[in-house]
Amino acid sequence: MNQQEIHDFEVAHAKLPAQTIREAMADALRNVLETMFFAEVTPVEEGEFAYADGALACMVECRGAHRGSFGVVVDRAAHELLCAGFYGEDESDVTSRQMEDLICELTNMLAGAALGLFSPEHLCVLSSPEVCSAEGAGSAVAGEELSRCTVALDGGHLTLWCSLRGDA
Amino acid sequence: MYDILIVDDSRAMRNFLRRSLAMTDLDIGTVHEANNGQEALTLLGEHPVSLIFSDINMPVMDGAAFITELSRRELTRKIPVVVVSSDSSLERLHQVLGLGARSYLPKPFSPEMLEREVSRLLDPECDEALEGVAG
Repeated sequence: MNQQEIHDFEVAHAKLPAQTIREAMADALRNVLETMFFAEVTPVEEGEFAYADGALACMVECRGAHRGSFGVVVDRAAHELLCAGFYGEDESDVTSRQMEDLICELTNMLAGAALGLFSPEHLCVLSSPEVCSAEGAGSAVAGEELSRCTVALDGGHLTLWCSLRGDA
Repeated sequence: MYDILIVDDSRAMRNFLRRSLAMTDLDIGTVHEANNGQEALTLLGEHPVSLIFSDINMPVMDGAAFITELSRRELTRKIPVVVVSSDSSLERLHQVLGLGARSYLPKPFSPEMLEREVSRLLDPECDEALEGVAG
């Protein structure tokens, strides 16, 4: 980046409207999935769907200016298609290791993008993403504020959840 | 021909960067990969490169320590480093540029954005041509 580009980056940040964490999550989902996964996303209201058996989940801890955790739950068929788009391979050629690698990378990207929109001035550090059980993922935790945002994709749904501590 | 080094603990991200580079019109040679800064320093001793992509959060040696070490070494201090990170905060931008990184590419980014950034760092004439086309 040259000085002009750094200046432009700072101006762009300064012009970012204040967003709630949920608005930031919705924008992050659209930006990340459309730009790097070449996927079409449609927002979905909570309660209009249920995850089928075999859904995948991953979570990452966040510390710094904001503390808590972010996570992703995604239907297996949708994730296979996301993998195909990201790796540029046929979905039938995507391996289970690639799927696991990618849900970790996806969780990291979505958490980072949401935090960048929600709190662009402040530094937050994300832990290494960890694959977890989809069952109960993103459930409310005492003392933390839970936000969830879901989109429909080819092959199923994807939910990004975030649980930030009240004292953050 | 430009040899490139990708330093990232995410196999998925290394794969995406490699694939994005292959999609460009740039004259890309060998693309090396390392899991962390320490591995990258070892690799650079045997394989000089024209450009480095580096993540920030990595085990063993993170991106900040890696860039600092590069700038201390005579053989590596002039290699342009592009930091690729999901952290798009202003604080992080100033930190990595202050350490000596030449560019910062926050995720998400498209293959076109990557090509423009690589062109600017490796081939300024090509960058000017792209800007001319963009209008």
